[in-house]
Amino acid sequence: MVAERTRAIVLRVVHFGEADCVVTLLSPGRGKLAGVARGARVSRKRFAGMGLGAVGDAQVKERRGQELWSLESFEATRSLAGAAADVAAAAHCGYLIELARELLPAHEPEPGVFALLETALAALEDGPLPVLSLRRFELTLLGFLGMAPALERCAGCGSEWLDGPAQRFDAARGGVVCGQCGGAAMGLPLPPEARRYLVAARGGERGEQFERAAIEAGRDAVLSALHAHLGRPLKSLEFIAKVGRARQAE
Amino acid sequence: MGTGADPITRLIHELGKLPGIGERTATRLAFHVMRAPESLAQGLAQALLDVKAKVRLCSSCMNLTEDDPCALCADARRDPGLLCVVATPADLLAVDRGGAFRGRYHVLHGVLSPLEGIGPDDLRIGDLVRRLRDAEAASGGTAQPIREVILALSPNVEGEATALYLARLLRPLGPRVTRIASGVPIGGELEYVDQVTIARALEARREV
Repeated sequence: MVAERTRAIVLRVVHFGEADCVVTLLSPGRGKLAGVARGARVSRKRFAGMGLGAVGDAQVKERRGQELWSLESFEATRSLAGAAADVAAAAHCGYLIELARELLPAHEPEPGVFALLETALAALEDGPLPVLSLRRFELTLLGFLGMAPALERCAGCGSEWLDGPAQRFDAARGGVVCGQCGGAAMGLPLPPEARRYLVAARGGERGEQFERAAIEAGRDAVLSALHAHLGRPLKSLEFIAKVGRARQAE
Repeated sequence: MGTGADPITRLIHELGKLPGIGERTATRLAFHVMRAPESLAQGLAQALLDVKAKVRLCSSCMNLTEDDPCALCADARRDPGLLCVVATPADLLAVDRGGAFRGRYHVLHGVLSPLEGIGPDDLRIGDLVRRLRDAEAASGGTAQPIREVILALSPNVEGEATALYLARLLRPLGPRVTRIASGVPIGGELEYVDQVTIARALEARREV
């Protein structure tokens, strides 16, 4: 197999033996792939700046009959290490990467997801992402992967008559459900303003101001959709909660 | 697997619990122990028991030690006003090996890690804050306060996050908080240095 050059984002680095690493990368043309980087822990020439969230040029080679590719070299052109403004930005970096890594299937090219993640990581150099940008990232990512929750018509009956008092968000059914289809025991409450907030977030509209309660209900709805797809809690959310608790205790 | 399994299977199973050791390596190691003289097995078993029975954390710096306080904390020639914070005992050895630093240490036993869910309370950060407060409180007497905390953490996202968190937490307690420099390695050639490192080195340039 011939080595090929590709742009790549580092999604995970796991130490392997004394000098090697197993690295998970996201490439625009190859999708998510994992490769063995021989000597990565000692060679800063071949694996320069290869850390979590680094964006750069990688040289990868498929190994016949092997799940793991060979990562021949990586040179970072952008890295959040040293550029992150605070802990919240680093936490967001972890969250974006974990989401992409856990939701993306291996070896399926998703150039849109690559561009989405690259742009979001670059924005972290200015500080943590605004909540609207986080929701936009989550919803756009789900959209690229064909998992976007229904926000503009009922996921149960398809009705466009939403924003009733009994409207809910049911991740198991695929999004917003109207008062006719939903029940108090199903999903989460999603007030009309929270639904509009999610539609605005998905479209990247920054004009309208939303109440805190609507923002929180929208966040809870998206997190429930992510949890339904992942089937397990995210470590990065656990981290964000731990840092929040520690700061409150200071 | 219960304890009723035969000894070789049990040994393979136990060795396989160690990080980086899969079933094949565990099997190879088990058969090596079988073939080796009995003294090797006895020495290995005793070393494992000793490490668990005798090695503990130094109550001051949190490094692994047999004696409390450890030799580094007990060394009166070291400057108690300088404190170097490292992630692991291995990092402490790496910093101390050069002999350029003659202050004291504090070992965090990890770094903040968004992807592992490791938060501040999972590290020895509370002990570090207590140490600074105790040193400050005792400085009215004969003890010296800690003048400077040097954060010697790896220049990756996790190390940076930890350094930023600590800097914000420790500055109000009084000491100067600094971070070790990162950039072009001594003996390195600029043409082989990556763009990110060059950019950081330029940002942290100094007058000569």
